[in-house]
Amino acid sequence: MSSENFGTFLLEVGVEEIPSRFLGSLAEEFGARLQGALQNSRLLYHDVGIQYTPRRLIFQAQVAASQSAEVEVVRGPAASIAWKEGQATDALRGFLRRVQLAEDSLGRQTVAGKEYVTASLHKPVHSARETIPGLIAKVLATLPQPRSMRWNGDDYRFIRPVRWVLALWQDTVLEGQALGVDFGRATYGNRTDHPQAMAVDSVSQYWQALREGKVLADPSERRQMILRSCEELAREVGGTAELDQELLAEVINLVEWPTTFVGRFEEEFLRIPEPILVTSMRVHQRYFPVRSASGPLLPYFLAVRNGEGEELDLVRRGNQKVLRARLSDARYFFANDRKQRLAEGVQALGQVTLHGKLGTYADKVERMRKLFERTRGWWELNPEEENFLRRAITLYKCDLLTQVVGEFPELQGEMGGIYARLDGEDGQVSDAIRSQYRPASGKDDLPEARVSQILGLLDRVDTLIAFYQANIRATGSEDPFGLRRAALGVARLLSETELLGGRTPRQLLQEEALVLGATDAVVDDVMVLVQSRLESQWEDRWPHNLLRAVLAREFPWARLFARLSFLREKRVMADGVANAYKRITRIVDETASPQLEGTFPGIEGELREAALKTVALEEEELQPWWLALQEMVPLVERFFDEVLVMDPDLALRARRLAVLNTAREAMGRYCDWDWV
Amino acid sequence: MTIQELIALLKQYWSQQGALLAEPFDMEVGAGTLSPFTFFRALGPDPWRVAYVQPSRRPVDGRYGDNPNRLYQHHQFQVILKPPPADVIELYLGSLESLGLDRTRHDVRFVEDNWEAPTIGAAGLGWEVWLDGMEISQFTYFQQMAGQECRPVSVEMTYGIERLASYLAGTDDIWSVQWAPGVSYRDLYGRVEWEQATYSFEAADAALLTHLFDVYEGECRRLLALGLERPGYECLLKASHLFNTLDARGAIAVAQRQAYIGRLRQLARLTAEVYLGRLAARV
Repeated sequence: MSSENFGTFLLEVGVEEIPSRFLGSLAEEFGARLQGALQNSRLLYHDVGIQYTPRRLIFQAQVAASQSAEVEVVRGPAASIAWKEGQATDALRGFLRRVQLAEDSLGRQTVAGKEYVTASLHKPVHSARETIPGLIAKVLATLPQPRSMRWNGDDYRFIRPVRWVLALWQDTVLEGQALGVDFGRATYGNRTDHPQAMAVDSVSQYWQALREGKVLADPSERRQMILRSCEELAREVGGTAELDQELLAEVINLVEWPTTFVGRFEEEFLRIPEPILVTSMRVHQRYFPVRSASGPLLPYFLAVRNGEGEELDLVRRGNQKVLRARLSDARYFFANDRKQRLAEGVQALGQVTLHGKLGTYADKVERMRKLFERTRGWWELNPEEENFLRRAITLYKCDLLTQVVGEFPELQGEMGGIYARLDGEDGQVSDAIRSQYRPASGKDDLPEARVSQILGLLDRVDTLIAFYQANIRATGSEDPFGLRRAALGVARLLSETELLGGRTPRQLLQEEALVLGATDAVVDDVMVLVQSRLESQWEDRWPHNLLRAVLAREFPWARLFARLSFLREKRVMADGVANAYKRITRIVDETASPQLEGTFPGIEGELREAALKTVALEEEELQPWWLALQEMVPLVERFFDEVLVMDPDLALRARRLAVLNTAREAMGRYCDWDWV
Repeated sequence: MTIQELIALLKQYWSQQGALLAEPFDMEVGAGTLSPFTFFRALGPDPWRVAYVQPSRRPVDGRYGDNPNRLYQHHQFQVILKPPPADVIELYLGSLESLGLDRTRHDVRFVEDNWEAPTIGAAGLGWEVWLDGMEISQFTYFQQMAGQECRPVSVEMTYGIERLASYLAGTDDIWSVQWAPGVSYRDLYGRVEWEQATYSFEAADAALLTHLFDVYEGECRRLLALGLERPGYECLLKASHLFNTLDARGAIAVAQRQAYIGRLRQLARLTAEVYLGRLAARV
């Protein structure tokens, strides 16, 4: 189709401030659905552009001026009943009426050896101008929203109220309405610099108007602008900006036109522990901290305002004042907390509820103590380290009672570590308390000390079993208690350290189940969750099938890497083994038949002996195991050639199945070949 | 700017926007939302525009007059627009400008906030409004009141008068702000804050208050059964404030909390039913 048959379609949906955390995904879905709608309506398009700010979702594309032609072939009655003695039957006449065609324009089509009458219907072709308004209305009415609202007397819902819809086809306004708003040609600048409406006569004028109204509709441009100005301003005060990616993503979506400025606070506040300063700035105020080249924070922050405005002085002063008030509070809380030792909070943990169904934090600490004592011999700690761990268990939730954590709950653990250190607790104890939530994600580093690793591991195991026992689970997108993250922590600690030695993850979960009186079903469910987190953590580096095959066996996950590496290396040669294995699994059932004594003639004896030898190999002797399998594969083939497994003689049948089962056990020792 | 000037300017601005200027409701409430001018008027179909100051008591926030930001009682300037006009946010920004807060010299941000008042079964979506980094207002589109869907929706704009006043005075400390020329906030409320905090945290008779809660709950139900929605609702407000005081006193165990909230919400729902029933019957 030639280019003059295309026109520019531009849509801007004006919304009151959309929550920043949903904006990106909402815009993406908005774009995807509009494209889907164009496609379904037979409107060709290209050069799609999607942009967004907190107040607008924008879609632009080159769209065919009219719908593509489409012929629909409709099947009618079978040719054998359409005519009788050359005359159209009632069946055919009915069909002709339905498709509104004459007899001579019919076609024929053979389906499954039978010939049918067909009619070719040309679908009506409408212009883009007629078609698009309905698409807009439908997409906006059905766009999935994380949390939608009503804003009037009617039933229209959207994430926040929709206040204007600018819809242009070339230079003209499309006629229609969506969510109760008539399409128009007005847009608005950002609220600070250009709140008035601007009439737009063409697509190019629209983009011009956004520039005049100081709206940077492209999020990547806003990002660049913030990055550049942060770096520059930080340099001016002799430091570097700490550009936390998560915060950056949020700030980009809080403004339509970013203006970055630097603020400062009194140096005396630098005596407050750094995590408090950083949380006050980053989490509460959305500021970027500034760090000196030698490491410590500088008494500055970088903030981003919306729009350009006329001056920054009042904005700066206001923000400084707010931060100062927060830091004064924090300093006051910190000083109060220091009036008593962390350990003095132990008694009061009995008054802090973990969850209505799960008792208090004192209960949790008690369970942790039991779990540790049950498993004490597992960890190969020296007596001193054992005492550090006991001490850490006693103290690790005590900071819940401090004022700083009351004000900054996200610093639980971090503050406990700081207070423990200031109280003169051993460094191993304070480190363990401080790092109890690490790893916090798939990328975060694990704590280094074993005492720290074990504390974090036991805590998460207790959390998972306790919540699952109370039937509180991670489901869909809902995970208010961070159970998925806890499971990921368990998976990473068990697969990236040697902590558990020769024990399996399930053994550890079972110990906790005994502490809590939880059933095996609870252990099973937690095992599934932890394993699924393990898979998603390892999936980007290992083939999915291999991962599933290896994880089908329960074993100490410290060996996971070695097993995966070994099998990946052998993979090209694994077909023979996999085929032999699958051949066996097709015939034997899951339940292992009892080992039979007695004589096994010929190939039966040979295969049995090879299998038993393989089963008897030491754990993790992967290379000898692999070599043994190479010997077994031809034996399996011969076995199937030479004997009939399902012999009518039931005794013979049982004997042969038993041999196959032993072979299967030997071959499947380190992976389930069905997955390979 | 003194606090009384601030209030006068907001009243003037909103009356120019067609809001009725009401006086504060004369009972202990935790927020302007609980005034009958909001609670009842947000229900039902009739349009409504009102603005008023509401002294609001939050026993747990009492700090004996020591803390520059936390108070047993603060003042809210409450505006209800039902249904909200399309330019409602611009109207709000206009109100800030009427206080001399020029938008080009300040940074006004709308930060997501999903508001909820579980004791009266109310919920809405909207924002906290930040002025140069400080929260000064709540801006909410009511979705539900007393468990009833709001049709039409009301917008509630609540200004924290103390916050705004200390910002305008250029100080962190509300206690030094002038309510009227020569009369500071401390002159008016310093001793009162100390007494109220002492009462809420130390002196309140928990057993008596617990008993009174039950009494007011029963009285509320009895009055609602007679179709007396306002006196019934006032008993609910009494019970609600008793609950807040008991909470500050540390007399409500975690396990009981939800039950208390549920009892209050139930009363709110009954009140709304009586009120809406009467509206529907045009009595």
